[in-house]
Amino acid sequence: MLYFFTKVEDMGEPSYLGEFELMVLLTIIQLGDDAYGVPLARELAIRRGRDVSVGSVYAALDRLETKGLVVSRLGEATPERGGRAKRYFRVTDEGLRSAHATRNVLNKLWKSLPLPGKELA
Amino acid sequence: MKRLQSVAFATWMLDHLTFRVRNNALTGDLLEELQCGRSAGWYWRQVLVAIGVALSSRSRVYALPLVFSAGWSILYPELWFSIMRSRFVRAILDGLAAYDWPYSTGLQFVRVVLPAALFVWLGLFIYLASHKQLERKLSALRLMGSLSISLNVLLVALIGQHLGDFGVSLRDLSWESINSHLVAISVPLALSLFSALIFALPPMRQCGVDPTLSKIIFS
Repeated sequence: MLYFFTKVEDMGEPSYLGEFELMVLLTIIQLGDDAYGVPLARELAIRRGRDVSVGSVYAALDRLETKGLVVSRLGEATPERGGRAKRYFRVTDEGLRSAHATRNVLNKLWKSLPLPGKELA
Repeated sequence: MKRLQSVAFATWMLDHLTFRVRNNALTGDLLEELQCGRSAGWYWRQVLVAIGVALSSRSRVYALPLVFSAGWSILYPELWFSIMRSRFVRAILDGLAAYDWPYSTGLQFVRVVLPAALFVWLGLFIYLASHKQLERKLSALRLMGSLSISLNVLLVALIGQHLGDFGVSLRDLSWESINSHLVAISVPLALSLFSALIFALPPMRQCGVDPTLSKIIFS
């Protein structure tokens, strides 16, 4: 029964990331100290070549934070934000491990990708 | 003026329909963009998408506990009948039936509620054991609350069912009658287990927010 009451730090296999989560994670790393909702959505929109809603960025950030891959802290509240504080995000060590693990798996899978026009095996 | 009212109403919707503590940050971000020249139409689109995303993720969170509660509760009538058919249990029940009122009534109540509560709690522990991430976030207090809520919901639902008279009539032992009785038994259990699981789920506003960890990493 004590097992249920104990908070255990899981140092097992890293979790793999979905496409959008991976993009958000990499964008956080790219933006560094300025990683909050608006710049994240802008940068993602530029990279993807289409508009990204701030709400869906926050939903992905929620999932990443739940998994312990990013952490957040409250920043300054400014008048143009209606007195609401910014929430800055930073990738954790586990997040970094997870991004590397996902890249390794994807790299292995990319190797078997045939060129367009060639027959699939 | 009209634009301001429209934005204020959209902000109110965002604050009340997305169930998140990060509403403030999201709303602030959207207001910041509005100040930078975005249109009220853009603001509304962002608000509606945020509400849609929040509702969708919330319903996904509830879907699995709901399906598990319904599936687990369906097993109960079969298990209940097999336990009641055993000689050992029948001997105990016969012994209990010999007691006078009010003990007989109390024991009858225990006979109905105890196995149902144990069955619900077993379901709860199986669900938690199969969801390690959820189990890790569950404090002792929250687990106790979850067990207590399941018992309360079970009692209320059983009393409601009793008042609704879903019992099997001995004069009408048709398959439809027995089947509806079995379904009726499962409903209070499903409600009880579902409420316990929902209570055990980490609330959205606490998801992954670990102030200590945050402080260490940002310092």
